[in-house]
Amino acid sequence: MFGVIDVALILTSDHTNLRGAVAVLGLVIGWGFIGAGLFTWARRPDNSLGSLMVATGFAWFVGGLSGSDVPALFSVGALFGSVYLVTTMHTLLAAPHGTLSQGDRRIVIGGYLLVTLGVIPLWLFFDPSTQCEACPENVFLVEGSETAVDIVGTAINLLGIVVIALVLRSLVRRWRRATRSERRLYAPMYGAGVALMIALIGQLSLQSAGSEGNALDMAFVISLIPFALVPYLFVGAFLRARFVQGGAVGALMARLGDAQSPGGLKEALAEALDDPSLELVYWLPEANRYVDASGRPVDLPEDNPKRAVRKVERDGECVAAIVHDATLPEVHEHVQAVGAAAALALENERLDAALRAKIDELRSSRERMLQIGLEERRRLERDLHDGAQQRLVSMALNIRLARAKLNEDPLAAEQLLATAGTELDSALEELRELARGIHPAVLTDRGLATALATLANRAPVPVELGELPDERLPEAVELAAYFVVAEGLTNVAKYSEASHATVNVQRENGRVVVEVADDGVGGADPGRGTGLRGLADRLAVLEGRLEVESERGHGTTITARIPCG
Amino acid sequence: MRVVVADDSVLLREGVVRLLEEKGFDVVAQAGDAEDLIRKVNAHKPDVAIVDIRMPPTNTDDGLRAALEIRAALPECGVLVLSQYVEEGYALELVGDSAGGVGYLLKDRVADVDRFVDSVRRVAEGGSALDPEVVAQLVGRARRDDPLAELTPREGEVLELMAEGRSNNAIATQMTVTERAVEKHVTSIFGKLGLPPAPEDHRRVLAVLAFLRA
Repeated sequence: MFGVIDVALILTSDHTNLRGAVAVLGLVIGWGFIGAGLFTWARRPDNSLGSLMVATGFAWFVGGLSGSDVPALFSVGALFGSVYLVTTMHTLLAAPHGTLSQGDRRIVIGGYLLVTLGVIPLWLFFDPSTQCEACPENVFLVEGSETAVDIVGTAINLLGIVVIALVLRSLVRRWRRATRSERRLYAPMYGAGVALMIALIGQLSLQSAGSEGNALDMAFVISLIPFALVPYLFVGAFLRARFVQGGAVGALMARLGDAQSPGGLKEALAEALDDPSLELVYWLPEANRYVDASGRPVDLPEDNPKRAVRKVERDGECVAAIVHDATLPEVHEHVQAVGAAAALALENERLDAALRAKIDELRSSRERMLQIGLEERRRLERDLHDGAQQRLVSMALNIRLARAKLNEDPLAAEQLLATAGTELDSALEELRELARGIHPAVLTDRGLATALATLANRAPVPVELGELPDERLPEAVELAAYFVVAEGLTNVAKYSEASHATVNVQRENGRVVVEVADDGVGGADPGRGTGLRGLADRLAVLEGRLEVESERGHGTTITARIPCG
Repeated sequence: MRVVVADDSVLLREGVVRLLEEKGFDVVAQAGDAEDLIRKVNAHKPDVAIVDIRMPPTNTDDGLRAALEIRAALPECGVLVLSQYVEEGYALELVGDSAGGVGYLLKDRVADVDRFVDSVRRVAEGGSALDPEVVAQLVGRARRDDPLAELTPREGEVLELMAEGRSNNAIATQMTVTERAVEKHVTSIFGKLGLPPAPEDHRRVLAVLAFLRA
């Protein structure tokens, strides 16, 4: 309706040059924007692009009123004749998400101010009759003054050029930063935007330079061509994204049947979503983390405007996550569809990845166990050499000396034998401690409860024994649990400044849960120190896990979970 | 005094036997494993059996189990358990609810012949002999509200010797004080710990152990 009125006004206008071209383009442009805007609005109501395009269409038609011969309509149309340019810039800068960056927002606000409030002074002094005889009256005219019009007009033109240049800069910068798939999708739109900005700069420059007549009108019409294309290019990009991806789901389904090499699924998904930057990570519930196809641990990126994370579920359990380019339109729903289609294949690859992760973990824990074994043997050798062996050597020496002196100096001999006796006691004591450190005999003899009671008794901090299993557990499990408590209580004594500790060993869901808690200062770092690391390795051999909870000021709790029949 | 000695290490067993015979004991039998020990104790009914804790058939705590069996079956036969290392848990288990005729010592103590012989004699006569290290572990245990902190150092020393199973006389000799002084310490200790007075040495041990393990 609005469009038809506009066309009629322009065609009957006495003061519009190139009437036919302007009228046709005008209708195409206005309807184009409104139509494309309504289409986008309906598909993506949360995205402001649709409403912006509709607004551009109406602003365009408002500008078209300047073709009218009725003074009031002419004046309003002429006064707000440039608003559509700023809404277009707004649309271009807001694509594809419909939101503006801080800098872009300032540019757009500046633009709006210029084409609304900024142009008012011009129209207070501009008398149209000085430019064209057929023009209707300017109803806002206060006093015709060509000097004022010249000054204000030039200022507005220059400011306009600045705004347009800023928009241009922002568009170029955006292009540079765009991802490959974004470029592929939005190239025509960016092209049209840049062309429009350049054409506008040309037009304003000509105006400022004082050109009139046909050259100016031609520049105006030329600038209308990229402008007219903008809505169609938008819708085109939108449809293309859908089409490309829609076709790809079929191709993906076909490919999923083929034998996959590790990581092959990622390639297939990247192709299906037209996103070469796509990453696929698998969830390992038992390890409580994500790994890639080769089993290496991966951290998920924070959700941000550039990268989005979509979790894929199967039977209500998370099996994987797709990390993709968040800038592609429509891709969100699409990832969902692709993820669902690929869930079974994902599950397979996940198991594969889990296996690889396990193998890696086993390999490294085996190496560490080997290392620990070597270190323990070195330590034993050193302890034996520095301790018991030295004492025995010194004892042998003292006994030989004593024998030599037995007859001539019995008193000295007795002294030497007494020294030898003391050395002997110390050697025995050291050997006992060493043996206990290698393997606590009471554990084998009597099981966990008795062995832990001994540990608790010997700890320098009061230890409360909570629940302990009455029955015997597999030897390896008992030993691991014993060392967890031993290391835990050693740490309590060394670092925690605790006033007391509690030890619990419970069986639950086929696991033995060993817990050592204190009320000390907390702040223990499980990554530091070899003790906890060694424990974790000991547990890993049994498929067990170690957790350390040690918030500063809230004590420390170490919990080991060991699978057990 | 009739003795049975059980140890799977022939060297140590022969050493202990020679030592005891020199000191006038009558070693009526020797055993190399737990079953052999029980058989020979049943056959000879000795005054005391000296038992190594680690013996065949399983080479774990067979000796201790055999000792418990003997104590249950033949209460009048004293049992002295020797071990390469001490576990206070074993001591408490061995004592059970009677500290009479029971001993638990580190093997090293054999080298201190006089004290060892004294211990064997004590156990044979229905008294008790707990290793100082066991007592030290029990006394040294970290406690939340430690009533032991109220004891004077002298009283602490007396407490430990009492727990080992020593008589007032032996404690007095060891600490080079009069027996009267020891008696005063003992009364004070029992008062501070809130223990009922126990006339016999082995009942005293039980009371002190019960207190320490709580």
